[in-house]
Amino acid sequence: MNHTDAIKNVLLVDDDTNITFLTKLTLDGLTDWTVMEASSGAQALQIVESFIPDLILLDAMMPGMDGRTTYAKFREIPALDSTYIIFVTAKIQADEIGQFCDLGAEGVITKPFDPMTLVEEIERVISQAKTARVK
Amino acid sequence: MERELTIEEKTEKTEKVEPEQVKSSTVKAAQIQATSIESAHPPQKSVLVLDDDSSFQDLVGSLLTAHGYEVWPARTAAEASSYLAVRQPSMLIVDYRLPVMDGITWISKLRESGNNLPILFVSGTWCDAKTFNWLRNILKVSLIFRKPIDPQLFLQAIEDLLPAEATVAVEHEQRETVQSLHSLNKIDFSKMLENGNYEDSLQKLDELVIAAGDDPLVLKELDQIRRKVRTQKAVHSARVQYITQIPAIWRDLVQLVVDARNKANSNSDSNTADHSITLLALEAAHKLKGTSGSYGLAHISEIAAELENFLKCIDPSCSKEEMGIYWAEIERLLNDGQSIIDTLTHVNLESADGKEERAISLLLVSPQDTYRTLISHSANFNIDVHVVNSAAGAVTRANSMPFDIAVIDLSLDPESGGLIASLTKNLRSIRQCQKMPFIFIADPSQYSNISALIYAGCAGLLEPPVSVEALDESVKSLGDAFKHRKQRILCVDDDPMLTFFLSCVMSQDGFEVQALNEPIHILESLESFQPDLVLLDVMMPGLSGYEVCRMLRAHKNWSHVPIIFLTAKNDMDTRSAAFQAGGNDFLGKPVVPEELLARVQAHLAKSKLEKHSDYDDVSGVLEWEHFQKQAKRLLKESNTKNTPASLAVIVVENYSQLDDRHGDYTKQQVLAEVGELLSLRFRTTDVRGILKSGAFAIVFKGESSATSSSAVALLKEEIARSIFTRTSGEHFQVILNTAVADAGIDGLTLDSLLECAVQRLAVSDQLGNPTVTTGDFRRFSL
Repeated sequence: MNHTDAIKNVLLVDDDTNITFLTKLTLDGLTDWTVMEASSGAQALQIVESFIPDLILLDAMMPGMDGRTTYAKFREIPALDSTYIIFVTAKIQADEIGQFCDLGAEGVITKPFDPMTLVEEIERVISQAKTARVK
Repeated sequence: MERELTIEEKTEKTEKVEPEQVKSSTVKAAQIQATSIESAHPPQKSVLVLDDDSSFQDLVGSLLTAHGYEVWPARTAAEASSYLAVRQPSMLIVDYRLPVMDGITWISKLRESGNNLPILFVSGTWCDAKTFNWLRNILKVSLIFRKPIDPQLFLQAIEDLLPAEATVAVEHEQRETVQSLHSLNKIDFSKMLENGNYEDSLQKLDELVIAAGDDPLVLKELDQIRRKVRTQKAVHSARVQYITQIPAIWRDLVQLVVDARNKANSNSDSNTADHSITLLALEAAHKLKGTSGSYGLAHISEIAAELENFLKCIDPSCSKEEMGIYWAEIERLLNDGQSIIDTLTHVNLESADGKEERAISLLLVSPQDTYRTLISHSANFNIDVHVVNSAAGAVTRANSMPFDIAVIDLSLDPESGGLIASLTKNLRSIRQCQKMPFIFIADPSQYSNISALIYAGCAGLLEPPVSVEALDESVKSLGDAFKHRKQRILCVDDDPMLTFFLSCVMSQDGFEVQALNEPIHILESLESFQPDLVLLDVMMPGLSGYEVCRMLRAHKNWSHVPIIFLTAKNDMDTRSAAFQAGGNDFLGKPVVPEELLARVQAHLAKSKLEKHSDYDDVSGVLEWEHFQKQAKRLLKESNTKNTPASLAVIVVENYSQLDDRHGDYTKQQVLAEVGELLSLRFRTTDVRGILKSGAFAIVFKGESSATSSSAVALLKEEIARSIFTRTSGEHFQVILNTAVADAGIDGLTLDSLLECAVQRLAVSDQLGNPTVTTGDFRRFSL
C-alpha cells in the first residue's frame, strides 16, 4: 500500500499563483485528491478552519507570513496532527533541508519540480520520513 | 519506492530476476518462450537502467526491449548494486537525481571498485562545465543525455555504443503480441506527445482499449496512460499561457537588477549602501528559477539560478573589484536571458499560428468534483472551462488570468450567507473582471429568492447537474454582452515576430490584440475585429503605413480611430510624414513595452473623452444623457417583446447637507462609493445612471417591480451597513431612499416611470420634504 493512498485532501500554499495553478492542474489530472489553493499563510490558516487537508505543500519563501511561521501555526492546530506537511523551496542547500526536517516537517521538495512526477516525489518524501521516524 | 509495476516490468522482473515468483499464466508462457529464444541465440545485450522515475523507466524499457535488449530496472543505487553483485549487464544507464544516493556518487563508487562498464548518464537538469568535465574525464562516462530524451537519438546512441543482435530483435518482437504491441505504441505515444499531438494519442488509446478486449491489466494500464496524456495536455496549455507572461516577469526582474546596480554604484563610496533592492532582485530571480523550471522552461530557470547566485555575492562588504566582476557576470546573464526569451516567444509563435477563434474562457466555481469532467468536454464548444472549488480559489485564479464569464454553483454556500455576495463583489472588483457576467448554478426549488440573485449579478440560471451543452447554450444566450469587455488593438506589421511580441505585451495588460501581417487586408480586419486603436508599421512591402493611414482617414467608419505609427527610422522627415498622413502618435523601434502601453492608454482615454464620455467622472455610472438613451432602448425592447422591466430611483438622504455635516468633498465620496456599489452589484445587462447629484436610477431588464424592489432593498441594506470614513478619520453613515416603478403597470416610457417612482419616493419620505422632485427630471428630460 502506498502512503499517498490515504490522502484525500490537499492544500497548496504559495504566493506565486503560477505555481499553485500548475500544481493543482497536475494533481487534479493524475490523482483523485481534492486540491485547495492558498496564496498566503493567512489565507491558508483561514482555509484549514473548514477544510482539513491530509497533505500540505508549503512554500518556504512568502511575503508576510513566511513558510516557517505558517508551519508553526499549522502545528498548533490539533485537527492537523496527522497531516503531512512538505516544504516546497527553490533553495537546495542540504543544511536548509535539514532545518525544515528538524522543525518536524515530512520533508522538502525542491523547485523547480517536474509536475508530471510530483506525485511520486511526494510519495518518496513521505516514505523517507516514515523510515527515518522508525529509526 | 513502492508503486504499481507496469506489465513489462513485471514480466522483466519475473523473467530475469525472480523466475520462481511468476504468477500470471500468460507471463509464464512468455517466459518459457523467452528462455528458449535465449538458449538458441548468443546471450542478449542487457542494460541496467537506474532511475527512480517510473515514466522514464517505462519509456526506456519499452524502447530497448522492442529493439532486442534485455532491460533491468533499478530504482535506487542500492538496488542497482545488488543487481551488479549477481549479474553483469552490457552497459548502464544512470540518472542523476535519485533517492538516498545520487547517480554521480554511485558512479564514483563503481569506478573506485574497478568496474569499467560503459555508462550513459541522464539528467533532468543541465550539468555545469565542472560536473560535465568530472563525469566525462574522471568517471569516464560514455555519454551524457539531458531529459527529456529524444527516443530515436537515445536508441541510436545506445546502438552505437552496443550493437544489438538483429536476429534476436526480430524474434523478440514476435514473441509476445500484447506486450510488443503495447511497447511499440508507447513509443508512438512519446513521439506524439513531444509533437504536442494529444488528440491523436487519445484517439489511439481508444483504439487500443478496443483491441485489448477485457484484459484487466492492460486496461488498467491504458487508463493510467490516458490520465497522463490528459494531464500532459493540460500542462502543455498551462505552459503556453505561462510563456505569454514570461516577457513581463523578466522585464520586472531586469528592472530590479538595473535599479540595484544603480543604487550600488551611486553608494559605492559610502558603506551605507542600500541593500534592499538587491534583495528584491534576488527574490525575483529565485522565484523565476522555481516557477519557470516547473513549467518545463529549463533554460530560463538555469539563467535565473545563476543570476540568483551572483546577486547573492553582491554584498556591502565586497571590494570594488569584486563588485565589478559580479556585475559584469550579471550583465552577461541578463543578455543571455533576453535572447532565450526572444527565441522562446518566437517558437511559441509557430504553435500560435493558425489559431482558431479565441475560445471563451469560463471560470466555474463549484465544490463538486463532477464538474471537472466539463473541462475535457468543453473543447468542442470553443469554451475553455476552468474549475475551482472555493471562493478564495476563484478570486486567486481570476487575478492571475482574464476570464469572460464566471459560473458559480450556489451549493458553495448552503446557508446562503454572505459568501456568494462577497465572491461576486470581489470578482467584479478585479479590474479585468469589471464587466464580467455571472451565471449561477442553483436548484430552483431551493433558491426562491430571485431578487437576491439579481442583486448578486446573476445573468442566467442553470439547474444542476450542468451539462456542457447547457453551459454552451447559456453562454450563447448572453450574446455579445461580455465580448466587448476588452479594448481591441489591431497590430499591423509585416514582421510576425514583432506583432507576436506586441500581442504578448498588450494582452498581458488586458487588451485584446489581433495581428495583421499583410496590410492589404486591412479593411477586412477592421470590419471583422472593430479595433479601438491601430498600431501601424511604416515600412511594409506592398502598402506603406502612410498609405494605410490615409486610407483609413478617408473611410467614414475609421476616420477617428487612433493610429500610432511604429518605425525604426526616427528622423524628422519620417515623423512629419507620419503626422501629415493622419497618425496620432509615433513610436520608435525597438519598442519599449512600458512606453507603448502608456501611449496606447493615453490615446484610448483621449478618444473616449472626445467621442463618448458616457460615464460620470465621480460615480462611474452612465451620465444622464447616455442613461436616458440606453434605458429608453431597453424599455422599448421589453415593450415590443412583451417582457417585464422595471425602474428604481435611488436617492441619498439629506444629500445636500452632507458637506455641511461631515466636511468638504463628502458628497463626492458618497457619490463615488454608491456609484461603485451600483456597478459591482446587479447584472451587467441592467442600465445604471446618475440623474442628478445624489440621485441614481437603474433599469432592470426582464424583471418586474416585485423582484427589483427587493433587490434594491438589499442595496439599501448594504449601504446602511457600510461605514464611510473621511480622510480626517471621521466616520459617518448614509441612508438611501428608494422607489420602484413597473414598466407594465406604471407607464411605458422612461419619463412616466421616473415620474411615478419619484412620486412614490415623496410619499414614502417621512419628513415630507422630498429631496428630489419630478420637476428635476422634467428639466433633464426636456
